Amino acid sequence: MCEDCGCMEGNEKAFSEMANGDHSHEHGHEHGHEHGHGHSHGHSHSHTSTPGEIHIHIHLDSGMAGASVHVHTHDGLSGSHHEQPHAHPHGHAHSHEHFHGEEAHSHGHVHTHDHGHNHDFAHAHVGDGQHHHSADGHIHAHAHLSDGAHDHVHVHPHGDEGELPSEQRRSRTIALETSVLASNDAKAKQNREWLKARGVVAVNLISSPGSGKTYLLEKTLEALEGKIKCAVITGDMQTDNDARRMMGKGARVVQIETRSACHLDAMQIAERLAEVVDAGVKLLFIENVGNLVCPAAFDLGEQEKIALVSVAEGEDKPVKYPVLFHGAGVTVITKTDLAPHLDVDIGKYKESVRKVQPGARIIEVSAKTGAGMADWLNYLHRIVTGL
Amino acid sequence: MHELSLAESMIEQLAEALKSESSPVTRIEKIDLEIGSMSGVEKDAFEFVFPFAAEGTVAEGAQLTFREVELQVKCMDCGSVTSPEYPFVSCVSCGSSKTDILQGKDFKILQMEVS
Repeated sequence: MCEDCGCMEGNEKAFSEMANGDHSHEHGHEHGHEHGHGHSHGHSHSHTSTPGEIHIHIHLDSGMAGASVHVHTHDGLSGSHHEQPHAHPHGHAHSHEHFHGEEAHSHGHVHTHDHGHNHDFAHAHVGDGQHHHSADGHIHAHAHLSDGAHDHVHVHPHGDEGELPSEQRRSRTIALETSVLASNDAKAKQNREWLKARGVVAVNLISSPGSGKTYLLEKTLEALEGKIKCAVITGDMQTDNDARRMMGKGARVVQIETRSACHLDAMQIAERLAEVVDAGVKLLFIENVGNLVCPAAFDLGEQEKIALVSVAEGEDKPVKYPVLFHGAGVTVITKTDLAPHLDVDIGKYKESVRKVQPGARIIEVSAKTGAGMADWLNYLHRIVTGL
Repeated sequence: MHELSLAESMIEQLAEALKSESSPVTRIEKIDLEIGSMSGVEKDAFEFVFPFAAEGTVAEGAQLTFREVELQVKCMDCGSVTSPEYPFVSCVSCGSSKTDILQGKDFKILQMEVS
């Protein structure tokens, strides 16, 4: 039994099972006990006690393969009880107990050891989250249940991994490893399959407001009328102005007013697909909300993501908004007829695009004068025919 | 500010994942996330909007942690794996622009701590 801190006799058995290694507690006060193994909690905590308050730290072997339990309990004179079990999925056990004397004191302690496992993540605790203990009767608990899916969290080169008996759980960790956008991506995949089954190619047009998406689409629909049957879904936060502009050019047009949303998502597209894609449609234009940031994150189920940037916007826009320009296989530089008036170098726009997407196809177009429209239409023809 | 949509989507997914838990979960205490430098997600914006999305849900009050992942590319020409300075994607070793992005594009939920 530890003379200073009152470690229980039973500890010896537990310690004898320990792997080698050191274990020291750096308490704010001296009570000098050591036990012959190491473990690391990636945290430190401090507690304040009242005279006569008992702090018990127990580390139990659950008896299950590879799992052990560490319990810290704190009992105050007032009858308050603090308990803090936590489990580490490795196979060792120990317990120690220490009693505080008559003198009020506080101490912090840090467990360190060197037998090779790390906890990289902060632990959350029911309670104030800061891992302080005071005699207020709160309980906090944390558990680590490894299912092998979160190798970045714990590295345990020794022992098997196991799960705690449910009665020893207070809080538990559920590994997910999924994209935050998983539900959007799943819906986008459905859209893609729906379109493919009908032989429809969808393009997602993304740019800042005022880059000339709608005007380019108006001219495109006029040029393709009678050649390639098109459909359009156009997104704006408010108004159906864009849909009105594009109507009467041989294509069904659906306006999505996103209200507060700054982008279209795959669910919104799924809801409107059947309405806008009627028999014979080969090419679906999705004109996203004018925004260089948010729409880039949402797959809609399109075959091609197309970024547009007008010559009036600044040559470095692709570098400033790399997520979009990297993700777009095609960048269309619009309003090229304005270049001579704006003292811009279209070559610099291209350089800028290639810095973030070296493989980008770049098309220069002026929907107003028609310059470059043939390249744009050829490109659309190629993706529709698959040639 | 698509971070609000992302936060809502994340909470929906977490709630969905909890449905298959055998023992009841009253709250999510902590959510560990991985955020790539090229994910298009602003960590500060996400942290800012999360409480609004979480209000009244099982995730209300949850602590967020972020593991930030830098961009890493593999060069198709020289084979090196390097970390170009965001947002550039060319190989740091040989300057080739033929690279595959190995990491840095994702925004993922790693795990959650529940009670």
